[in-house]
Amino acid sequence: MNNPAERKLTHALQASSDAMADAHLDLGAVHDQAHAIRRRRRIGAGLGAAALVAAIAIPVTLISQDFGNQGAPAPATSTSPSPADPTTPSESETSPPETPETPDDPNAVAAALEQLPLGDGPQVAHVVDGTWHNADGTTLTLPSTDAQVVGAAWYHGGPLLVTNEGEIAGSTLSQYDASGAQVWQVEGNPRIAISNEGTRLAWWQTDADGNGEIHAGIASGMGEGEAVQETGDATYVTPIGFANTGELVYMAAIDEGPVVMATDFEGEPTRVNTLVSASGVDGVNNRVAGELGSGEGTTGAVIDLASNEPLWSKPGWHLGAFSPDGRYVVGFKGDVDPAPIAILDAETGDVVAEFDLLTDHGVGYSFDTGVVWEDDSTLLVFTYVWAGTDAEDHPGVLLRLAADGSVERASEVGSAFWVFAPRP
Amino acid sequence: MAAEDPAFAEWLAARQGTLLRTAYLVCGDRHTAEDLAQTAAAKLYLAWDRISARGNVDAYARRVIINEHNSLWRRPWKKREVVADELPEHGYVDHQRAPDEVAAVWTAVRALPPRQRAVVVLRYYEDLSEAEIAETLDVSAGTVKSQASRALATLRDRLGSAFDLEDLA
Repeated sequence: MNNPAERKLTHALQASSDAMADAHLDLGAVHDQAHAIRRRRRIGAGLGAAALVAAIAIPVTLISQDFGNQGAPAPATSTSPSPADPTTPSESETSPPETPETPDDPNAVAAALEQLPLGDGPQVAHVVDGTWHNADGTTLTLPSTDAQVVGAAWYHGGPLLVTNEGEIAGSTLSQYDASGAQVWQVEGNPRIAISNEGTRLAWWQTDADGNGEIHAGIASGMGEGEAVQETGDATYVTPIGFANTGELVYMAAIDEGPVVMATDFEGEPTRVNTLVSASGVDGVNNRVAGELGSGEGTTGAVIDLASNEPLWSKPGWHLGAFSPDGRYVVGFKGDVDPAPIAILDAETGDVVAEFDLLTDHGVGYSFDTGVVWEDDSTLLVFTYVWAGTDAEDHPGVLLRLAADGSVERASEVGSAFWVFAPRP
Repeated sequence: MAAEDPAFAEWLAARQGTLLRTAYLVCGDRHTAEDLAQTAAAKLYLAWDRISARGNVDAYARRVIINEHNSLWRRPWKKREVVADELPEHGYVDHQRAPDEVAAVWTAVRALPPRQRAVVVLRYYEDLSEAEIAETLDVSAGTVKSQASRALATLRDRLGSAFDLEDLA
């Protein structure tokens, strides 16, 4: 690097990095964060410590005849996998406590979860143990992959799988047809948006040069009439949902920070500048849930997309998705992890029902992938035992939270890792 | 996991300064840089046995920083620091060159698109080769060349007369 200008550039970078001269990483904090990462990886029981615990072991071939298994969704006792759960202690099996002795006791938590009433299995499309389950109970064995499946949708007559290859790789979207043949594969965002009525879906993909595009297609179609919107300088784009105008609302990471945008795939995308982030779109009433960009701290808000005006806001709350009918919206109370979950009145922001899953049931969840609307008034939450060290397994269970405040299981407690198909 | 691995602690003590500085140059924000560096260290800690055996610890940490920064907005409500136009409160100390020259270059670098900025940081701060940058960013060497070329063209355009960058390759 003998070029004088290059030396100047290097010098300027070195000098600018002096802004961090007094910064320091705390080894204890690094350990704590590592333990938290490991704990999340170890959702479910019975997988080897060195393996990606959340990975789905998928059978070798797509067996097309599997698709078409008919019948109503079986109850959770039969639809959810039920491998032996080596972490369930024999003592707890013989005399399970009514409630956990303490959320810090993973065995007691798991035993108490077993005592929750068991309802039907999940009534939404999902992937578990390498099998795609449609809401109507039909199933399809998915193609084999060693990667961690983090998302799945139905498109082009087959499964569209999102996988993460490893710790530092991005997400890969792989489209298969009904015969199991791979149609295409791209890098992109693991989140796939779907319209309220389930007819349109959208995803974001990039090429090797980092050029991004949003694609929107007919969910039941074969790729015909796919609309494309280039995303320019945005380094990362997250599709959120469709408005009743057909516009797709999405988040884009650009140099100035996060922005919320809307596109009709024809004209220039427009900025939804009231919000700095978006989490849900009410395709019935044309509203968007997200965070306001002004003020101190977090303020969840619902805005009217047409006027770009807030309808209500809730300081200290984060918001999630709207119920399919637009009546409710998910709320997450505070910046704690795992935060209490609430079903909020989407019209007013009032709390309809609140669930402190950590305090009451000793479980955590993933707010961005583990909470979906099962119908207009119930949530499905993929939870896992929060307590325990990173050397221990963390059994998981699907919980059904209703607007009437009730809680029941929608699966057995075990090692299954659930991935929900996109929901509004 | 390499629980309480003294080798990891030793590496962190020795390399955290560079880790933090690289993170800062990549993201342009002190607090985000601390988050990125800590996340990189935590992930490295989890993979320490495997990564240290391969002898590419620094490369792994750099990759995590770049990828974490690229995916900073994946979580819809993850607390974020928005990059501001102002220079950080913690200023630099430069005895050899006028601060306004450094500030001008840094402002121009911060205005580059993230991938181009990452290429510039890895090339001119970390002193990596094109091949090493390509591996870090998981792109082709050709992409590194094109991104670097665009970045330098932008810097020349913005700084050329003020900072004598015309002779950048």
